[in-house]
Amino acid sequence: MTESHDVIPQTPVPMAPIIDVQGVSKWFGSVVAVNDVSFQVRPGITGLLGPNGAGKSTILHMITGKAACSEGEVTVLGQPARNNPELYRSIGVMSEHEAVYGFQTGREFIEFTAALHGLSSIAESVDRVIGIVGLEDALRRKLATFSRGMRQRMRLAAAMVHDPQVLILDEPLNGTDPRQRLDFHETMLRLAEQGRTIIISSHILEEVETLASTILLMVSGKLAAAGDFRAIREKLDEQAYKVRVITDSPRKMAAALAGTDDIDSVSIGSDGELTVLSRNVTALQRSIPRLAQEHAIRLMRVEPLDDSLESIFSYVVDR
Amino acid sequence: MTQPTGELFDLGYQHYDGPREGRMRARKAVFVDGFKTTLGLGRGSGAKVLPFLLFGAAMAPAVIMAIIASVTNNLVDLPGHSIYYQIVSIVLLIFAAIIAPELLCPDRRNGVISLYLVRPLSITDYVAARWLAFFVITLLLVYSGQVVLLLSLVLSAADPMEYLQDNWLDIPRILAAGFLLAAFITTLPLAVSALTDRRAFAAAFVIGLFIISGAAGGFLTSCDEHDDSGRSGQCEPITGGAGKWLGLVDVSEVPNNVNTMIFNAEDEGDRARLIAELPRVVPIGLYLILTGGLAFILWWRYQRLTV
Amino acid sequence: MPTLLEARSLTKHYGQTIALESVNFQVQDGITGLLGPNGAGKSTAIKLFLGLLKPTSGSAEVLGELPYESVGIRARLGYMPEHDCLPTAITASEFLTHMAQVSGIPPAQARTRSADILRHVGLEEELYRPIGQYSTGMKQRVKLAQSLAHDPVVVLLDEPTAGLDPGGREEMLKLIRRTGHEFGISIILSSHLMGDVESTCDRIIVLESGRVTEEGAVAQFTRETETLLIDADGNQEELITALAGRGVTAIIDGVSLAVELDSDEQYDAIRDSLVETNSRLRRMSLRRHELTDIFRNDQK
Repeated sequence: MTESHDVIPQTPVPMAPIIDVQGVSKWFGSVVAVNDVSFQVRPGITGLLGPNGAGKSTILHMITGKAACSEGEVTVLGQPARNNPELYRSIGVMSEHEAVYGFQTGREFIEFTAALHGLSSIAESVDRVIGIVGLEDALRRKLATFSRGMRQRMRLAAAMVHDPQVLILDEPLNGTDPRQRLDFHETMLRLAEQGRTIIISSHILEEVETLASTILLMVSGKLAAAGDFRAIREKLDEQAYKVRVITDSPRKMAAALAGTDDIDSVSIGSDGELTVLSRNVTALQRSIPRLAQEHAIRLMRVEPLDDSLESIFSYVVDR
Repeated sequence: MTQPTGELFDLGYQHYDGPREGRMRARKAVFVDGFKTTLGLGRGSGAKVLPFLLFGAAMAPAVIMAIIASVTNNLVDLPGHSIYYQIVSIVLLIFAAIIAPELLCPDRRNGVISLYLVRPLSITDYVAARWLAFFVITLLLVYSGQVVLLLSLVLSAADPMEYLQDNWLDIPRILAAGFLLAAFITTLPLAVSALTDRRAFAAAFVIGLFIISGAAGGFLTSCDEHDDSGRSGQCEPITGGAGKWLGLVDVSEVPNNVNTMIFNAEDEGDRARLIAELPRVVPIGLYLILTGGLAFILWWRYQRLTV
Repeated sequence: MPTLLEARSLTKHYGQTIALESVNFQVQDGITGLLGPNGAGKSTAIKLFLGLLKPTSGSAEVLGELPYESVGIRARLGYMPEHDCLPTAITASEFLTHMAQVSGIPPAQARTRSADILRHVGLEEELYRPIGQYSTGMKQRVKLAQSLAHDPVVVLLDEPTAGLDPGGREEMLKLIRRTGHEFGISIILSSHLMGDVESTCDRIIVLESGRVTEEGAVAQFTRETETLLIDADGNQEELITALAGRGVTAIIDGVSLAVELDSDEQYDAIRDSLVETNSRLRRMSLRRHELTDIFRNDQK
């Protein structure tokens, strides 16, 4: 006798993407700013990176519906991004250069934005976001007196006042000091935990590295890489991994490594540091402790030299 | 057999051991740069158009007057040096209104001024050098027209030497009136340029000021009717006794008021005749107060500049 | 040789606001980083040393002289502002030649030095095009070049990598290192990016609320701790157990395991545990202090 069961899928079905960009291009006359780009953005923090002129701001404008696509389409929360004012209830945007009214005080600016969104309980919303960005002291002062970092935080607060599901932030860290960045970091992580979808476009790679779980790297209008940046690194076959290894017997270790297939080369520095080049990094990662053990070598340091986001960025851009 | 030799030259950064001329060099550099900006030199052909057009416009009256002088040969009342200044002052005021802001506004607008402020010159040096550059050019302009005029008057006279002897007083008058005119034309637009970052605003303000005050001055001294002797007769201005004071309102004529005095000339216009009734001290005083006041504003505004 | 830069009881008030309160420090040769939160007094300090501001009390001395009063000493100072400061209609070559003269260099020498400096900062044919047509990266180089053309003794750089993309930022930092180490010019670098400071500066001075709160060699602030971080792909729990079995205590720290090292012998135990659990060792290194730690301590 058979009973009907619900079939439990072996692999979880991925959630529908919050932002769906399909075959999007954008040209201004003969200048192609965005060239046939497709990607999907899911909840969490996504970093949008690329050299100046790569098309990052243009693609963000198309996601927020500020610009039309020359080709392809952008869907946000299941709806078309363009000509859809209702969608702004769910999207908060902080663009790179924004003028603010210098004569407004901090509070007035946020209230103004809240009113523009048609929020009913303005005071509460304002208090909530001010608390998040931590600018309680500055509320009464006019924006013209703010430093750049403070203006940035006010604009971030304004982008969040209507509690949007989606946040698009273009260079939000310009002019911010280290403490403000630490606060920003915490705020972003908290918002992501709440299930929001956040896109941060930034040139400050060391910040994006610790925040974003996935990245989108654009070069000359095209999407050059997408996903987890360590996984991207593994696909950069032509670039051997550089790993520094420090032991108590460098030459023995070097000889042991040279005897394996896992490495391309090993060089010994003047202070006994080994620099190992390898295209098979997973095998190398196992070999190093094993070889050390086999040859009774004390293994003290293993440091990858080029799997930071910064290295990956320059490798991809220079490809 | 000698060994062939080769040399590798060090193209790396070299420290500078040459002469350092300090503040004087800095002032000269700002002056020369102001000179070049005014004439549009080294800034593409577009920048030269206006200066050279205006130069032509400033010279044209002199040339025309010179031609008239030589042709009519004393049969007509000669247009004099005083009239030339009056005519050319209009051209120069326009020239100054448009070009003087180039000397001060862009440096503040694009932020270059902060680079000047951290160099070995004071802010007063900077302003003075810019002022001087514009002043020298304006002065050369007004004097060259007068030279043309003077030469033609001398050469077309029946007896050139006699003409010079009779009229040698014209020369110091030309120099003095020219100096005062150039100083005014330089100081007013530069003072306005000190108060706004945008060249267009400065230019529009100065030109607007001339037009409006000119119209006001003309209106306030206008007459309903002249007596029977026609235009050269006296008449009562619509503002009555106050008319002669109100005529001073015309800013563009401030240097000309003094100019007329220097040359003891007869200006036919209603306004000018009324002003001639005022004590001499008045137009002179107005000129000094206005020009001095504007110079002070210029200096003071730059003293208070922060970056 | 007097101290390059010295602040003596340097105080600056703007009305009721205290920007700097009786600050004392000295800067000698090398590349010195000036750090601090926004509003801490960094830009005020920079402006005081450039002679743009007058101290309320105390002094800001450059080579023993007061730049606010002694105009001449400014010929030996260079400044690269954070904000825009370049004209648009003239070429870099003309601009630099002019600025070198405004620093006191005679015209002929100004012309040749400008060409040299522009070459050193990496500008080539662009030299002869109007600055308005330059990219941000090129403009930043021109800004740096004008600060060096008159061979200053010390250069103050304010956020030199602002607005640059990662490639441009790396190149600017390389240029700054070259300037400091190869060209032999002392540098004061004011920056919010700890990465920039760590990769270029030898020493730092930290300002907070108008006072110096930290000072010292960068190496001191980025020294290693005694905690070893092990980044291994594989089963962390298994690895912890294997380590414990060999007498090594490890706790989870984010994606890594942290071990307080008592002795070097523990390295061998760690190595053996890794082999036993067939883990892939991605990274093993001592946790370092970071410059950012300075700002972490009093986060609310």
